[in-house]
Amino acid sequence: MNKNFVIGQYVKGDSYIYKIDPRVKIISILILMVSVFFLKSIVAILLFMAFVILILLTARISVIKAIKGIRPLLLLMIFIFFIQILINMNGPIVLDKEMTLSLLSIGIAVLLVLAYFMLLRYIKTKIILLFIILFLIYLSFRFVPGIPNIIKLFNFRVYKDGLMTSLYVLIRLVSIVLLSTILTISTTPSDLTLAFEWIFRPLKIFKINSEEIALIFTIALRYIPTIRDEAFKIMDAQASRGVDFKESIFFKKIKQIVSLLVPMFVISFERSDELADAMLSRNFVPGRPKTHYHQLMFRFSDLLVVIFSLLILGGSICIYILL
Amino acid sequence: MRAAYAALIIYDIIIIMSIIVKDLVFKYEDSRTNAIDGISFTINDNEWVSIIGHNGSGKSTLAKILMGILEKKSGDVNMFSYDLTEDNMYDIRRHIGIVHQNPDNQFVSTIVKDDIAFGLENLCIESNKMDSIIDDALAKVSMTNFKERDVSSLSGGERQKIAISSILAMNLDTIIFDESTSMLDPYSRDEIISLIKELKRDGKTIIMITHDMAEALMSDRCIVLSKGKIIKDDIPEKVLTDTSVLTLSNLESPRVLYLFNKLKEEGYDNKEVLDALWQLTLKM
Repeated sequence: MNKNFVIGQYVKGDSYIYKIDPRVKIISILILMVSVFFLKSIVAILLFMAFVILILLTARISVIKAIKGIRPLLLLMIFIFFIQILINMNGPIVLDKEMTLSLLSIGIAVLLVLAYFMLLRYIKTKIILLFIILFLIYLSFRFVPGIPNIIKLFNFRVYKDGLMTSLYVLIRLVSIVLLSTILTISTTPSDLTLAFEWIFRPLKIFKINSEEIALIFTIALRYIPTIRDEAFKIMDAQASRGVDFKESIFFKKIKQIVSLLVPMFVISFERSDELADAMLSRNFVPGRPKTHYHQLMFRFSDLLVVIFSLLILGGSICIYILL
Repeated sequence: MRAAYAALIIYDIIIIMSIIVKDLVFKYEDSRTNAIDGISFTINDNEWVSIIGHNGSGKSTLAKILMGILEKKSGDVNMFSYDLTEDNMYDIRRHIGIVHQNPDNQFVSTIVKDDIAFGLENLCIESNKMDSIIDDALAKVSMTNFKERDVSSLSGGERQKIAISSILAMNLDTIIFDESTSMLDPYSRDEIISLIKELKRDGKTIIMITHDMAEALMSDRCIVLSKGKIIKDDIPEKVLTDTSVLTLSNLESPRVLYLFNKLKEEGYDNKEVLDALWQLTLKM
C-alpha cells in the first residue's frame, strides 16, 4: 500500500485556470466532454486533443502530473484498444499473420510465464512487465518455426477500420481523462465540494439537501487521512502478531482484510459518534439555514469561459451535422 | 423605574450567567443503575469548577447532559436563564461549548480556518466578518500561522488548541473541558492549562472534567462525583485533605501532599517546611 498518497490531485499554482470559478470550471469541462462525442473523424478528434494539450501548456500544469492522471485507466485503455482491433473487421487488411502452435513455442511461453512470476518480486510496474511478457509470448507463437507443427491456431488479422476506430476511441478517452485531470489538478477538494453543492441545489425539489451532501463530502475528505493512519496502525498491530499482509495466498488475504475491516468499522463508528456530538455542541442543526464562509464569485471572465466552451460544443455539433 | 432596572441588572448578574442543576437524574437505556443519581449544584459566572471522579462516575455524562447531547430523565437544569429543553438547545449552545478528549474527532473540515468557520456558519455570522473573527480566535491561542494548515498535519497539542480556538471564535461564556489534556504530552498539557488560566482571567466560566488532581487544584472549586452522586463540593484544598473522599473516588493525591500528610502524622512540626510543602502542593 502506498504510504504517501495525497487526496485528490490538487497541485498549487496561479495560472488563469486556477482563477476560474470552480462551478464554471466543472460546467465548462462537462460541456467540452460532451462535445468530444460529436466529433466523428479522427482529424477532428486529433485537433481537439491538441486543444486540450494547449490548455494544459498555457495553464502551466505539469504534463507529467497530467499523464499520471491517465495511469489508473491505462489498463482499460489498452484493453479497449485491443478489443477494437480484434472485433472490428471492416476495410482492407493491414496485417495478416498466421499463428501456429508448436512444442517449442509452448515451451518458450511456459518459460516466459515462469519468468514473469520470478521478475514480479523485483519490478514494481507490474502492468508493463505483463505486457512485455504477453508480447514476447505472441512473438514466440508468431516467429518460432514450428518444427513439430502441432496445429495452426488462427490467422491474426488487423483491418484498417479496426485500427482507425481503436485509435479514435483511445484518443477520445485520453482527451476526456486529460480534461478531468485539469479540473482536479487546478481545483482544491473543498472548492470542488462547494461547486457541487451549488450545482446540485435545484435537487431541493426532490427534497435532497445539497448542503448536507456537501458536508458529508467535506467530512469524508477530512477523515480519509485519519482513517488511513488508523488502518496502518491496526496493520502494524496485526503484523506484530504474525499476520503477513504482503505475501500470502488469496484466501488468506481475504481473511486478513476481514481482520482489518472489523476493527476499522468499530473505530469509525465510535469516531462518528464523537464527531456528531462535537458538531451538535457547535450548534449544528441539520437543515437549519446557515451562512457560508467561502463565497464563490462569478466574474466576467468566467462568463467568457462558459461562452467559449459553448462555442466549441456548437462547433462540434455543426461538424457532426455537416459531415 | 430605576429600581426595577437595577433589579433587572442584579437578576442578570445572579441568575442569567450561571448554571443551576437540581436533583438531576439520568439513566442509560441499557443500564440498571442511574448514571447520574439526583445531583444538585450551581456554577457561578467566571468560576473555574473542576468535576473529578473515577472512571464511570458520571463526569462525562454530566457534561453531555449540560451540552444537551443526552436527555435528562428527571430534575431541573437551568442554564443562562433557559430551561434545558429541546427547544432551548440552540440558545443554550450559544453560551456553552465543549472541548473533547480526543482532538482528532472534533474537526469537520480539512483546513484549520474552514473548521473554525463551521461554528460561525451555524451561528449565521455574515461571511465577510468571519475572517477577522477567525484571526482573533487563532491569535488567542497563539496559532496565527496555522490558519491555512491541514488539520492532519498538526500535533495533538496543536489540534487541541485549534479545537479550543474554534470554541472561542463562537464567543461563548462557558467552556467545558472534557478531559481535554489526557491525551497530550506534558508540554502540550502545560500549554493548554496556561491557556485555560488565561480564559478564566478573560472572564470565561470554566468547567473542567478531569481525573488529574494536579489540574483540579488550580480551580476555584471541586465537585467530586462517585457513582453518579456528589460526594464533595468544596474548595480544592479541602477536597485534597479529605482522604475518605479521595479513596472513595479512586483518586491519587499528589506525592507532595502525601509527604505533607505523612510528616504531619509523624509529628514533624517545622512550620516553614510544612508551609513550603503545602505551597508546592497548590502550585502543581
